[in-house]
Formats: sequence, C-alpha cells, structure tokens
Amino acid sequence: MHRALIRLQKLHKCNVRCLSDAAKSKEVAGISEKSKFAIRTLDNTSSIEKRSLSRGFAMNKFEKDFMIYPEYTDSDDVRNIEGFVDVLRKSLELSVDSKLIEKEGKLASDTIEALRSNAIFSLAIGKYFDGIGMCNKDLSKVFEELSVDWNVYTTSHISLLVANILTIYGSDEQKSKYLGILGSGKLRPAVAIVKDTNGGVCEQTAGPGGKSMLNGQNIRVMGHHNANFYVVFGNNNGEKTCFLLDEAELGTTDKIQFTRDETIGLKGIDVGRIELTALVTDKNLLGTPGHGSEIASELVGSGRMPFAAATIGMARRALRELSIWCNRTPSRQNDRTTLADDSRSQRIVTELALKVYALESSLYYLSGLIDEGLSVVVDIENSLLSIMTRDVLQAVISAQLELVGVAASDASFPHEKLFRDVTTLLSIIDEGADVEQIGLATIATWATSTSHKRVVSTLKRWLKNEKEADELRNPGLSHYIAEHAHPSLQLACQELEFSMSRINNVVSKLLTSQGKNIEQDYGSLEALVNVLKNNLVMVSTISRASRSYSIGLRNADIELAWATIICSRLSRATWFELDSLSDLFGLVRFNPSLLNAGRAVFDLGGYIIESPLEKNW
Amino acid sequence: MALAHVSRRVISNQIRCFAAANQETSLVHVEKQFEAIEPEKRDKDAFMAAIATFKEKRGRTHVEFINTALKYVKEYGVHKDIDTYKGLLEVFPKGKMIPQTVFQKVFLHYPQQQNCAVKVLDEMEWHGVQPDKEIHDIVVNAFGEWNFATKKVKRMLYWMPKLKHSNKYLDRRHVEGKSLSPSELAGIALKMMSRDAASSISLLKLSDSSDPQQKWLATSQSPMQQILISELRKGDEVFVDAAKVYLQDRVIPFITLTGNTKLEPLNEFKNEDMDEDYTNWYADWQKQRGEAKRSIHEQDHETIFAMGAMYKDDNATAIRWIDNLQKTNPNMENLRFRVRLEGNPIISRK
Repeated sequence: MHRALIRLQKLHKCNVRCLSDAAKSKEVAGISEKSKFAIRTLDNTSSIEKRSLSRGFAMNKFEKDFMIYPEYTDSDDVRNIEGFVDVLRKSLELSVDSKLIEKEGKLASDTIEALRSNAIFSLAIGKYFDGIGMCNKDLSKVFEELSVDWNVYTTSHISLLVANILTIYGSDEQKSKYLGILGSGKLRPAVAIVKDTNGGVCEQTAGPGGKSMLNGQNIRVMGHHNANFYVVFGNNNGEKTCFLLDEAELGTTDKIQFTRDETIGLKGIDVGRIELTALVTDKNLLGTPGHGSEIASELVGSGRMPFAAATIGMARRALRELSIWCNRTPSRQNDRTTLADDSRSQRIVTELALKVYALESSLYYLSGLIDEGLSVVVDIENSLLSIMTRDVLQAVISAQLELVGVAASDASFPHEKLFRDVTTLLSIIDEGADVEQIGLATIATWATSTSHKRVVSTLKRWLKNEKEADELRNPGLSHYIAEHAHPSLQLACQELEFSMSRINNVVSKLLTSQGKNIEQDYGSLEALVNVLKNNLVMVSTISRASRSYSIGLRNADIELAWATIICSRLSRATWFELDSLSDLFGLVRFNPSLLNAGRAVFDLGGYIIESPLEKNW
Repeated sequence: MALAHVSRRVISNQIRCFAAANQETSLVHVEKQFEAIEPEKRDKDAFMAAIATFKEKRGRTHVEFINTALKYVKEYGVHKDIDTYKGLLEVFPKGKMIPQTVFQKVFLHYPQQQNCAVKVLDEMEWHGVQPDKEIHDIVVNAFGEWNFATKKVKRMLYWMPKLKHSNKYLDRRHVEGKSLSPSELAGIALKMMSRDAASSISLLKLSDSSDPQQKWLATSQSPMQQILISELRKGDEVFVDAAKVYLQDRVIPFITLTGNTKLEPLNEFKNEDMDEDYTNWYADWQKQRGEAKRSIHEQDHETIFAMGAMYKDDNATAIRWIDNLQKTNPNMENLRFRVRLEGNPIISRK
C-alpha cells in the first residue's frame, strides 16, 4: 500500500514537471496596470499587508486600517444617495410589470424611460462624458433596487459592463463616440458570453493596413432587446482580441445575424447566438491586440459587485416577504401557532439572514475600500464576493422552497418567476471564482514575501511537525485585533486572529512538504480559498458591527450578536479545513478522491457504477 | 425663500425701532425684546433675527442675552431646532475664553460663560436635539479643547447617538421633524404598540379630501386576535376603553377592545428538578406540541382583541369602529359591548 502511494506521488511529480515545461514554451500576455480585478501576484516592493487584505491575512500580517469600516465622510452624501434611490424605487414601482415583461419578451418602454430618466445607463460613465460617474458605494446602493425584476437588473448590468471596459480600455475617440449615446440609452449593447463557448467560434484573420476579417458562428451573446452594438472576442492563433461592432457602421458586405434563444427565465433580455462577418479596423479594436483575455476578466470582474448588490436587494425583499408569510401562516403542528414559531423555520431563516449580513458587509467593505482611492489590490476579494453571491442566491431559493411550500411553484405567485430568472442568470453571468487562480496567487505571494525555503531533511521536518501541530491547536494572540474593535466583539476578534495564525502555519507546512506541486493539489487550493473567504467575511462583519454599535445605529446590538455568531462559526469551519490540510502523513491530501470521481465520470461516459440490485452469477 | 428673507428684515427692523425708541429713556431688559414680538409672529425667523440684532450691537451682556433667550425657545417653537442652539452658542466670542496658562486650565476659566454654555447644551439635551460636529467645533472655538463646557458637548456627542434608538419599537426618523396628520401618527403609534408580528393595521377614511374635518378610523388586529374573538361565546362581555400613548413628545389617544381573561394566571416559576421518567416521553412530547399555546394577547388580567384609533374620542365614534370591526369578525354580533370612553358607558345588547 505504502509502495503504491509512493508510486502515485512520483506520477504526480512527473505530470507536474511536464505541465511546467509546457508552460515555459509559450509567452502569456501579462496583466496591465489598467485592470483592477484580474488576479495577479504582488511583488515585495512594499508591505503586502498594506496592499492586499487577503494576502496579508494568509501571511499572518495585520494592518489595523483594514479594521476601519469605510464610510462616507459627509452625512449629505448619504442623504443624496438615499434620495436618489428613493426616487428610483418609486419610478420602478410604477413602471415595472413583471408579467408584462414575460409576455412581451422585452422591457416596456415605460421601464426603459424610467431607467433612462434616472440615469441608470450613465451610472458608470464619467462626468466628462455627461455621465454621473458614481462611486462604488453609490452604485451598490442603486443596484440593490434594480433587482426588483432581474430583467431590469441585467439590462442595467450590461450597460455598466460596457461603460466600464470602454472607460478603461477605450481610445479617446471610442469614448467620445460611444459613452454619450450609451448613457442616453440609444446604444443598446450585447456582450459575448465569456464563459460559454458551446461550439461557438469567432476567428480573426489579420490583413494588411491594420484591418482584420472577423468570422463568427454560434457566438453566444446576451444583451438589451434589439441590440445595436456588440462586444465580441476574436481568436487569432490562440490570442484573443476584443472588438466593438456598431451596427450603424457596418459595411455593405458585413453581416450580424442574431437568433434569439428561448430561455426559461430572463425573458425580457435577449440571449441568443450571432452569425457574424465583419471587416474590422483599429477603430473597432478595444485595447491592444492579444489583450482580449484581460478585457474578458475585467468584464466579468467589474460585474461582481453590482451582482452582489442586486442579490442583497433581492434577499432583503425575500426576507421581508418570508417574514410576512411565516407570521401569518398557521404552523403544521398547531393551529394557534404560526410558521414563525417553528424552530425549523427560524433555523432556515437564521442561515439566510446571516449569509445576507455577511455578503452585505463584505460588499460595502470592498466598495468603500476602492472608493477611498488607496493603493489597495482587491482582485482576490472581488472574486471571493462571487462565491458568496451564488451562495446567497441559492440560499434564498432554498429557503423559499422550504417555507413557502406549494405556492413557490404556483405560477400565480411571484416565486417561480424568480427561480426561473435566477437559474438563467446564474447560467449566463458570473463564471464563478477561479479557485486555482486565487489559491496560487495567494501562495505565490506568500512564498516570495516570506522568502520561503523548503526543509529538505526529513528529521527536521518531523521535529517541526509537533511544534506546528501544537500551534494549530492553541494559536495564541500576537496582533491583539480586539483592541481595534468594540469590546463586545473581543471573542470574534480572537477567533479571527486564531484563523490568521493557523493559515500561516498550514501554508508554510504545505509549501514545505509539496513545494510547487501544490499547483496540482486542487483540494488544498479549494480549502485555502474557503479560508480566505471566511477571513474576508470575519473582518468585514467585525468592523461593520463595531462601527454600528459605536455610532449608535438602530439595531446595532443585533449586529453585534450576528457578527459574533458568524465569526465563531467561520472560525471553526476554517479550523476544520486547515486541520484536514495539515494531516501528517499526507494520506488525505495525496488522495486525489476530490477529482478522481469526476475524472472517472468523464472518462467512462457517465455514472458507471452497477445497480445495487445487480448480481454476478 | 425670498419671502422668509423679507419677513426676517421686517422683524429685525421692528426690534431695532423698539430698541432705538427706548434707548433715550432707560436701559431695557433683553426680555422685552422677545416680549415685543406678537405671539402670532413668534417663529424661527423672529428668534434668529433677535440673535442677529444682538450680535450687531456686540454688547458685553451675552450671558444675560443667552439666558433670557433660552427662556423663550419653547414659546418661539424653536426648541427642537439645532440651528437655534448653534445660533445661541455662536454668540460667545471666539478665542478670548480659551485658557492659556496652567492655572486657567485647572480652574473654571470664565465660569459664568461656561455655565451659560452648559445651560444651553442642557436645554438641547432635554429636548432631545442630537448634536453634530459643528456644535462641538463652536464650543471648542469658544472655550478650548478640554473645558467644562467642551466636556459636556463631548459627552453629549458620545452618549446621545448611542441612546437615540433605545426604543426598539419605534423608528424615530419617521416621526421627528415631520409634520404628520393625526391618522399617520395613529398608524405609527399602533405599529409601535402591536407586538404580534402578524398584526395588520388598516385605515378607513370616512370622508373625502373636501371635508374640512378628516374622519378616519384605524384598527390593528392580528389573525390570532380574530381567532380569540371567534372563540367567545354568545353573550360574553367585551369592553372598549380609551388610553394614551406617547410618540416622542406627541400624545396619541387610542382605544382597546378587551375582554376578561379565561386562562389561569401565568405561572412563570420553572421547576428546577429534572424529570427522570422517560416512559412515554415521545408521546408526551407529541401531545404537548399539539396543545394550544398562550398567545401574547392573552394577558393575566385581560385579553386584548383589537386596538384602534379614531378621529374623535367619543362613544358614538367608538360604535362606528366596532361596526367596522364586525366585517372581519362575524362573531362580534353575538357579544355584548360596554363602550367606556366618556360619561356613562354605552351597553349594547345583541
């Protein structure tokens, strides 16, 4: 058995070496400074803990400024955005009819006009181009309202994405040409769905004089109804380049033919395929040739915070409806009590409410951090937000199914439309966090910053093991984070500190035993990503609850209780993950059971286990 | 905006004329300045104009002026306005009273002025006006960073926000600084008092907007209360009584529909001894689970069937309220009512 394991380990190392060699042969385009959300490693030029929250935590380094929850400096800013959102909410209440949207397959003209008059299409466009140029906190507040109908949200989301990439990567000519009409709603963009190929290809054939021919079939796009502007990615010998195609400027020989797909949800926006033939020049090029992958990551990355905000808005509405429903529905046990008195209902809603609190705290923490304009890298935190968003969406649906019962599937109730819309939304938006990228970016930064050296001698490693195991069980305090938060959160801060110390301990151990082979260890990377996500939630909930209580916000005492519950649970979850990572003999870690079952299903064409009733003679 | 400015100038001129007329005869007490304005014209503009007039003259009597002005804040209706207190504190000269030497820092420097400033802040705290950073800066510029008056404002800035939302059942942002109609106030009061989360508050308008006196009836009732009413027997007695509740500083009259309690007084004594008998444990637990639980409406001394508020608190309007309630509680036809709002109770026999 032991010999078999050693052979398996050697096989792993051979695979890794082959892949590493393969990687060296092709130059990959680096990430430019323009990109805010693409995941990267950080160099050692200045302290990591001041530049990246998650990486600093992984190294057990603490920067006290991260414990200050970002906020507006002026109360007038809060009143302004509340007033803006109030007006938006009222106009959406009047103009959005979900049943009509589904029936007609598009947003009503009233709704489009409401969005346009509330400047939703120009939120992310700078003031120089007649936009509002909202900061991230304001954007999050606005997007909370837009999820009143997911079709409305998706329409606004796409405009926001296009405005973002034009602002970052567009030439001055492209910005002045497109941003204005995008803000007025005259430009109706559609974007090629980055995560979905589904047999679609878009080949770019470069020609002389900076011109290229784009030929695409089956390219999946999503966008406004009757889109007249497309963002596509052309492939040229493995290099992706981003192109903008304005229908008004297409030549006589150019063609874009859109076929709409019948989706189960999001019937108010266009999801479909395009066949395209177009001659493109530098004017259609976005960014530089070969940087399409970076633009695609930025496209996806810049949509994560609005998506999280919309999810929070939807979850708040769902919780309010669930509260009304459960308070008025008799319980199954007893006619004189309600569903709200049942422990089971309370348990389900507890889970959901805590997740929403965690997501909301993390979202506004991140948006505030970016708005402060410090040189902080938020690539990892932004990706972690997408994991939490998916989690909350699934939790909302699950809670409604469990509590609302049959009404959840009844077409006369709004729930089933919500489920359909969310299902379609998750299938087209947000490819989900890349666990390997996040994990490796963190570990690579850790390795370079701590100048890590592998301990080769087995005896030394074995002697260190005992000390490290003890440190894992009883980490001890070194940063005294509790001094930077309200005294009621002392326990929560201690849990956070224990987590930080354990992560540092375990990452050191992993690198010592595996070195670069950790690239192949998906289990470890996934555990590390979960731990980073838990850390982000702990920091944001502690700093938020501390601020709320200190300034005397309403229900701040409830926030303290919730923050303490969240931190104690997440700290235990982190401990569990790290404990399983640090097992001494490598039996669990090197057991590739995490990936093998999936591999077998793919290789052998399905679920290949024999029926339990099968006999062999 | 222009109209307010004009009225302010008119009032300042009035005060100046009055002061000028009396100057050649004798020293006029500051009180007379405030008394001189007719009661109908006593508002924020008049008050701020009085302060502005005093600042123009810049006498040495600012402590006397502020103490006198404080007596009139309520009459002028500006006791809840933070600008008033800012205006009053701005009267103090800046910088002159900041202690420079160690002795001045140790002993109460300019005691009369500091006590006067503390009186202003006390008045502000009493009326529940939340201080802001500007108030703190005004006091610091007048008295220095760590003085008696400054410590008072620092304590206010620390504690008042923390205690602002101590009433968990009322969001005071919906009430303060807003001019709400009696029906809106009644709705907020009923929401505050209804502790059953399933309670629904309804408003019935009995007149349209052309009627000078708005006639309305508000009711708060939950499904549990409707069940309790439906379980009453024919001829059972229920009472309609009046009560008052405070919404911040506003008094809201309301009525309750109550009946005698049918349950034993609640015994909250918990038996500490552990029950070690496990026979029929599951069956007992199942049975106890299905039993009726006591609701929040079933109090020891009475059972509350509904709460409400009316545009006029008299027996006749209460009868109309009961009639309205009967639409959702058919069993009320079989009950006997004692309406005890005023004078002799009306007993309706059904």
